[in-house]
Amino acid sequence: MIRLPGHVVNAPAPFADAPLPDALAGLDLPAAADRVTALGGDRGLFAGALAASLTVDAAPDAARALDLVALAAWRAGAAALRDDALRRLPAVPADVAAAVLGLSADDVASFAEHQTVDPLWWPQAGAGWMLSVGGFSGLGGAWIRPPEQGIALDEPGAFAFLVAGRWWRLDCDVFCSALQPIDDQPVAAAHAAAQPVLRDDTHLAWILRTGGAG
Amino acid sequence: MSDRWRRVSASPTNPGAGPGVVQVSAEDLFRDAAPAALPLDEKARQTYYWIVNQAVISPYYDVEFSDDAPLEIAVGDAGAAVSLPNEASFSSNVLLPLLTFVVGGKCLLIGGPGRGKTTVAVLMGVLAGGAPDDVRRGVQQGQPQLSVSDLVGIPLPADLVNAQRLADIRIAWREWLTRPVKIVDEYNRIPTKTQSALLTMVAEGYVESHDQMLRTGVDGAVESWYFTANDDAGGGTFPVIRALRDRFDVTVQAAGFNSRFVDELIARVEAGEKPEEHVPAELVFTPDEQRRMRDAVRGMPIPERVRGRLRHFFSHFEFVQHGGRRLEYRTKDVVATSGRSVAEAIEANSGADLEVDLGAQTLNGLSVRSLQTLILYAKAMAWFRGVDEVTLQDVAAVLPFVLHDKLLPNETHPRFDVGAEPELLSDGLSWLGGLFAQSCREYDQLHRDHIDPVGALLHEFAAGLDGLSKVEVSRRITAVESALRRISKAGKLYGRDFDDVVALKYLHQRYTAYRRWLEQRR
Repeated sequence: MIRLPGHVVNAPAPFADAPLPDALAGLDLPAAADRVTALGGDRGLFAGALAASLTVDAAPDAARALDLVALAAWRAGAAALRDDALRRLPAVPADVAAAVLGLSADDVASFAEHQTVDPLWWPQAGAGWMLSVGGFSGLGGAWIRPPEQGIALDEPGAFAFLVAGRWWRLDCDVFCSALQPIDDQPVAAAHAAAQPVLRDDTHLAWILRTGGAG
Repeated sequence: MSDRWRRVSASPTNPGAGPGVVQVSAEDLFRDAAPAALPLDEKARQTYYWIVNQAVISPYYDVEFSDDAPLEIAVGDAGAAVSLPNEASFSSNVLLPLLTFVVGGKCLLIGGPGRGKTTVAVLMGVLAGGAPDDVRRGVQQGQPQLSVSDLVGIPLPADLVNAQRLADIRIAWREWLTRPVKIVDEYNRIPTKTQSALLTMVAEGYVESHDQMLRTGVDGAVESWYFTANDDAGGGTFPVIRALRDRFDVTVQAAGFNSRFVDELIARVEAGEKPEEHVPAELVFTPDEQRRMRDAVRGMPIPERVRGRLRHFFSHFEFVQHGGRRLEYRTKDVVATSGRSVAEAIEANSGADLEVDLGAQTLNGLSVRSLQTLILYAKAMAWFRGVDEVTLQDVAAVLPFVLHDKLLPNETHPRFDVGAEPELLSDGLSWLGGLFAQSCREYDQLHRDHIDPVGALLHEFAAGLDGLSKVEVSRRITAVESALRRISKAGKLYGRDFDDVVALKYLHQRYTAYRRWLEQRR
């Protein structure tokens, strides 16, 4: 079986398949979807998250539409939208935010609070696998060999992997992951709420959340 | 019209080492892409990726970069292996022409008909701002009847009749002469006399007719030349002038078509599209950008650890033990210009181990022009990759293409003649790459980074003679003589020793002349 990188919150699929609307409160959504994809997000998840929010708030105004786009982009995996989405989240009604993020409305406030300190927090998730990254480059992954070493860094959600003699930095949260090669060997954190897990028989690396309650 | 040609690689094409993820806002998702002034090396990389991904179907990644030994997987039963490097690697048949465009060089594209040689050259013309139709019209088609007038232009007929002197004859110069990218197709079919006119243009940057002169580079603009030929050996309708051939900075083999990409080919046939008509406007380089690129390339630093290995590589090839009587004349050039066989002179050397002596593998030494070209292209390679200084990998990447057909293999050397590597005679690029790697290994075995007495003496001399006492000068002369005696004791003499001996004699001359001056001054 070919194993591909991904996040556990996306399995099973969190949203029903939905077409991307051409516009929302005057915003050019196909153009935004292109940018989200370029930023590492998934177009289908972006469309699904937006469509889910529209079932709760069918006609948002321009400001609310921007909030929803930020949240949907983050939910779709665009790590570059994380800060903006978290900044906007408290202003979005809980039922709308819950719809776009794919969680229960009761959990929205708790999720917003925990995310500021623990990027891998997810309601009821507790300890366990949160995501896998990397993958064989021949199948569209990032790496040509299985990772040899993985460490957690001091910053929340930051890890590093040694692959084929080169260090890669991973920045991730519950929805997103971004890998990039780095020049210098990073310093491992003394304590971390999540740890990377490697195996000899795969090009994937897993992130295991070890602390925190659901 | 399909917009598939418009896809330009997202920046950065060369992921850097910045930690974390740059954050954007939802508003940024709806802003038009900022007309950001891309760094020119980034623009060059985007151009490269556009060409290999959209314009020329070239899945060949033969210019490899890897900061570790690449993963190698053997294929077939004849010693072939596919290597998987862990850094961005490139297609030589696109990258070298692009670097030629960057530095304003001269590139020879060789290969059978229909392999995209002219297409690549025309793309370079469009990147320089030419309209696709104009660039194609400006391609000079080599053919046996091509005259000098066909190439450069004709004197105005009225002036020919009325002029009292040559200076009065005006020339209707051909328009292609002043273009930033000049393309000569099938140059090996051009008559010898016309080749000579071409040589003047390529070598001197001007063209002459009826006592009139035209500079081919306008206002110091960067000009690059592309030649195509379907015969690497210089054969064709007319023999190629060696001097013209020597002017080519790099020689690139056009790659064949990979059958796995036939769908793309069918799509192009159906659409009737030519890649040069779809070059994205943002990839076109202005004359000012071209000048800045060339300047940036020239400014790339070459660190000492690379210089040392370059020096060592350069040192192997000029010396031949039995080339003459005087030490200074024991060179391959002396043998070749006297009409003797260099291979026989090498073979006569029973003192050195031909297997170890890298110089024995070649019939000639390296010209200063070749060395300058190698340095320039290594700088261009480093600049293109976005690194801070020239690395050994940059030199190794461009060296085979620069020295191809300039460093000629000695076919009687045991490596080719009786060895297990006769295929290297047809694959000169692999031979040259291996030669450089072998030289670097030898450099390391000799610990030249740390043990280089001649280098130390030259370094000492470079500080200048002003104020040196007679005692100090005498000490240095003694040190030079000691270094010479050390080489003498080794018995066997190799190219690297030859260069050292010549350099030591130079030092001896300079120091003794200075000591004489000190004595006369008193």
